[in-house]
Amino acid sequence: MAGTTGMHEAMSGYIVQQVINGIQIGSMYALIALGYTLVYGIIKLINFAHADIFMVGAYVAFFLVSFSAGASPFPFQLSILIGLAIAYLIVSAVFERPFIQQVLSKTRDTSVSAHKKAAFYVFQNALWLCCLVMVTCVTAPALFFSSRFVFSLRLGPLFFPVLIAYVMTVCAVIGIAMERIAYRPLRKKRRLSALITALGVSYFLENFCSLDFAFGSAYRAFPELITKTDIARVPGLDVAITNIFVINIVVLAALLALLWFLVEKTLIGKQMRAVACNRDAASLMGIDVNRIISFTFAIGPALAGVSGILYAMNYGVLQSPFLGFFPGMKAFIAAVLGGIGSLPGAVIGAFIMGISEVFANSIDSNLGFAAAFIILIVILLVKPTGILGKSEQEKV
Amino acid sequence: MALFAVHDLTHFFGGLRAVSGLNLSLEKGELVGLIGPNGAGKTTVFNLITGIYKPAKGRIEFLGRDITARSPHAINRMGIARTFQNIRLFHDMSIVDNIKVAARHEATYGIVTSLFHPPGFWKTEHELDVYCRELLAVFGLDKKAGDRSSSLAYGQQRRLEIARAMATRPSLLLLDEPAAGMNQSEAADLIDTIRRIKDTFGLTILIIEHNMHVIMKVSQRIVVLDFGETIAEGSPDDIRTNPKVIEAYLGKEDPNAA
Amino acid sequence: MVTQTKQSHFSRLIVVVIAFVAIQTVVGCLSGQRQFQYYARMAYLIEINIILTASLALINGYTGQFSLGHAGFMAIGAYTSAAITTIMPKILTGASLDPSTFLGNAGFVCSVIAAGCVAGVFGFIIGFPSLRLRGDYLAIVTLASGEVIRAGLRFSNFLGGPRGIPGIPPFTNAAYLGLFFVASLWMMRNFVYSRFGRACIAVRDNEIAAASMGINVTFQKVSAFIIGAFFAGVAGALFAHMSRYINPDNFGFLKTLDVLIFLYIGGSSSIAGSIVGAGIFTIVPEGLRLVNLESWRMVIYPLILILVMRFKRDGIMGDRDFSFLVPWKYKEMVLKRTL
Repeated sequence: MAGTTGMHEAMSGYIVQQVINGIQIGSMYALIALGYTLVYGIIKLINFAHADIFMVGAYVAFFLVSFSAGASPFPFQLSILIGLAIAYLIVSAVFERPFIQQVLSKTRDTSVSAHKKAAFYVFQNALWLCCLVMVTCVTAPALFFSSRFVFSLRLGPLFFPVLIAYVMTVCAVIGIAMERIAYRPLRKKRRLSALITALGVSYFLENFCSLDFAFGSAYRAFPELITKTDIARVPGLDVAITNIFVINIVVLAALLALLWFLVEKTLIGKQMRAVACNRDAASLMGIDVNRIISFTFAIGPALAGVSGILYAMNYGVLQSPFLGFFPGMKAFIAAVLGGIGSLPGAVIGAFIMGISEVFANSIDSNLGFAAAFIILIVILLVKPTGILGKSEQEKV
Repeated sequence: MALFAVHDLTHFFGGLRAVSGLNLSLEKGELVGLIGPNGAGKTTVFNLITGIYKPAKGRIEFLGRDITARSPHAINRMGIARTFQNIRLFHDMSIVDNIKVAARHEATYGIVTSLFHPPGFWKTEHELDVYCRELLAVFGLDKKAGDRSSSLAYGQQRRLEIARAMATRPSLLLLDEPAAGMNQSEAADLIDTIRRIKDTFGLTILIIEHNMHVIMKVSQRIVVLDFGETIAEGSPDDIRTNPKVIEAYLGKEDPNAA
Repeated sequence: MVTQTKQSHFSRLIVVVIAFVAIQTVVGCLSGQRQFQYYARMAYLIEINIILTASLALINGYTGQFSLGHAGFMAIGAYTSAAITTIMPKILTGASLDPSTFLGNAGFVCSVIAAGCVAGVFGFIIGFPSLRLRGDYLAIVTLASGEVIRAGLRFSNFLGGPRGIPGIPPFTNAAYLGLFFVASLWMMRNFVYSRFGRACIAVRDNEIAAASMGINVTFQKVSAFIIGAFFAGVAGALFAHMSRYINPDNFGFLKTLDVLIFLYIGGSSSIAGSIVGAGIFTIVPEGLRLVNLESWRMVIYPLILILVMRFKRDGIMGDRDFSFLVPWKYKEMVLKRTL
């Protein structure tokens, strides 16, 4: 009698533990899935490169944590790259100012000869490049020294929030730059071109970051931020809740709350929802669509960056800059599962994906991905619009 | 028995009732006009008939069979063809290819034939080509057959759409605002063309139009829609003087106005 | 409009065919000698890549879909034919017999065709449920299915598991490759210049209009998918018998990306585009290797892809085909303006 009860308890304890692990992984996927669904909702594009921003977040976290643990020097190349991105945004913004545009529009003046036009065109672009380089020479060192200063302080418990804020900012910058460089020029063109470009951007990021002066393709062991300890044990069952689990949940909850507040209660959130609903009507109502889209590309990637930190904490190693591929795919499936375009759906989908992955892995470690694929096929066959999705009807 | 009938057709877009309990029937050889203010639900009716939307309620019958909620290609194969309010030509393809794609009946060879191009293949393609050019000639478009369809003028593009619909050998033709954007002489040509193809091919036609001149001249019977419901039905003269129709288009007279 | 006489078309075609046969013969003879084997292999690889890219052109180019799992079909083709020529003889007669003498040439040809058929079946299995959905979803489903196929192959120990299949007999030589190359391109060209090709382009252009004109859109997409998968399988089979060793990691997403780059940069709407794209971008890595810039290849390719999408969506060739690829009878019909 006693033996059977013991087994039963062990079984349910095992199941509960797996569910807890699944929720932990699910929180990670949720943050990525939210990014996918936000971007898709607003410009109907699957941003394949989203998974790579997640990867960048993980690596940036790695470098910062290594530095503050005294393990390695602060990476200068990183500051150059991020400085370049910031410089690009600044220079683009300046060049879009009406005064500058007026000066530059001389090339459109038809009375100027073709030679002069060509020369002016070359001059314009050279000027732009020079400005870019000059501003980078300012931003990169500024970034380098300020980051080095901040992260060499003894921050104690403040360290984690500072890390999150820093990674979110970096990823937001990259996201905005990505949109401006790669996707904005294609907005009027066929959707397929944008999809192909997204794939290209993803591939580019993965390989660029594999180059030695970027992140390199070596295996990186993430130094322990927080020693993994059990915070709580459920009495009777053999279930442990670790502090890492709690951190995952707390971070997700906090970001979800912020996101909810942003989307539901602020003006810019309303504008985002308007643009997602009907872009042309929104612009006719006076909403600056470009700004809103840039803003979405700041928020989505920022969330993915935080997820990168969680990934590094959860798994302890960064295999290579291609590590975003599988989590990204699973997160996208989660977004589809929950209903693409729906924020709560993305979270629910992510938890389902996390839990099923954990259970599938416990049967056989190769089955994790197969489970994801089966879920995808099932949902697309049964209810393609997802759990919480609404069906779109094309106007004919 | 009516060639085509619609019973109690109802459709919603979210909370908006686009079509409400519509009843309509067409005898063989009739030419019926469907008019109404913008947003009355006319194109929605077309989309429901051709299977692009599935109606929330109601039944659509054609040649005695229930075609409600069938897929668009199946409905076309049964003999219903349409044109579109916003031109949906195949812009990547040439004019004659637009017709060839639709001229299913003339080219019936299978996939294996298309992979190996046996001797009979080019004979079939040649016959298809001849048929398509003849059809284009009916619409006055044969001189430019090899050009891209996007190079045509707007009025010609509309004609090409009708030609393409005709290539599918329909018995019922649905025309969605064929005279849109046409000037007076083009519209007069269109009226001639419609009458001509109706007689030549023995068609039954249902037209949506805003151009009152065209619709009054060409229709035998007119149905008026407003807010998804039929508000009037009758001959062109009846409709012209029907107070409900006038109210729907122009509004009621204000008793307080001077 | 360019006018051309029957004579000039056919003389051009004959020149191309003779040139191809000549090159193929030279390569074939040279491949026996060690110092030229590298170049011979390069030529064979170009031809295999052209078949692969053209097969993807049917799906992604002419029908306008976005399939990201093409390497999976290549893998299935490679493994099927390798299983027939390498594994099956071992099972039937014991490991001692040399596979290349067992089945002979007929066996090889059958294995290539079988490879295509099995890949086509998988094309149906994957395509049928997913082509009914919106285009964006197809991308993810095909992406995932490519990975699943690869994982499945790693898992299948009777097919060698993660270590793959070694010792595949080198049946792919200049003659066979030339034959399959010409046959495949010819059949794909025929498909494009038939009513099915037109229907695919119509589906790409405007699905709703195509459906309203009687085209069964799903059937059309699935057909293109199956035929594309078939030829990808053929390419895989030829690849397996050239490289003599295959393992699941040869056919991962990176391989699909390669083919996508060949396709979109060369020109997705024409067979000529596939030839140009595959030709150029099979050679480029070797060139880069010579100047020691090989690690930058993976960075440069996607940049070129992004630039092409931005500035010339149709790729290098656009939708023009090489003149000799267009059937003469078709040109005749287009040139004829009056009845």
